[in-house]
Amino acid sequence: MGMRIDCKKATIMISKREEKKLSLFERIQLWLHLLICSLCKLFMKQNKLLVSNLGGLENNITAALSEQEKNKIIETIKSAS
Amino acid sequence: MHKLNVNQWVNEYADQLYRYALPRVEDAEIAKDLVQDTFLSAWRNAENFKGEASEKNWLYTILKNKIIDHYRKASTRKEERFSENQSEEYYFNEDGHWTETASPNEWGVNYNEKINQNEFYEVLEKCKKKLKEIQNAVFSMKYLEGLESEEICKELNLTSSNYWVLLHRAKVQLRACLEKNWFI
Repeated sequence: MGMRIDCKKATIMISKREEKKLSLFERIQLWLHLLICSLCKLFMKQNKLLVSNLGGLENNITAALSEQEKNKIIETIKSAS
Repeated sequence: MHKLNVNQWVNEYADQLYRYALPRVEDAEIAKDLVQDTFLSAWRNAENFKGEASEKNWLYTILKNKIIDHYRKASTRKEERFSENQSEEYYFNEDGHWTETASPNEWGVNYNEKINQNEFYEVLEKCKKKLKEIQNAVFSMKYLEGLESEEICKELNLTSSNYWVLLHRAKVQLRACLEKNWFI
């Protein structure tokens, strides 16, 4: 197994590293790849931004059920009991 | 038995549960069905509710299980499991390098800062809905439910290498979709 990995493999390894699922050898492979590959480095930064902001997803939703939809749920429960 | 007032209950919790379900599933109708099923299950099992947890937490626990059931059903639709909306060749060429069309571009933001932009979340939600059901399931279980990869593989009956490939595809697609639609 060589030291060189391609971008496809590197991007998978970036996710694995988040979960600490890389061997020492793989960590070195990824480190070396990121030294020379600005695209994967950018992917890594953007991926980090994406996953660290996901928690905001539900807090930024303003969608709500209409009165009708709520009443339908209430009716369904009442008719089931 | 714990006394439940259905009207009050639905009016108090339905919207919160709906907002929880919405970003986790593919569309609003599914989210609505899951919310209704949650209330129904809770109602039918009301005698098991001991009042140890709050009503709200109890409802959330039921909803979370319903969402995971939904993912599990999605994962059994195997024919779509590894079919791709945009083939892998769109993102990586045969040498495994980024293709010209899919190469990441600089976003011009501070990557370490929290994003406080409604627009970002609107785009993200839309992009997420474009993922394959199974990709969305893996991605949501990992990043929204915070489950460990082993648990996700078990729930969805995936091998670990399938899991990493699905997660990878979800991320590569989300990144590209965000880049295309967020910064206009």
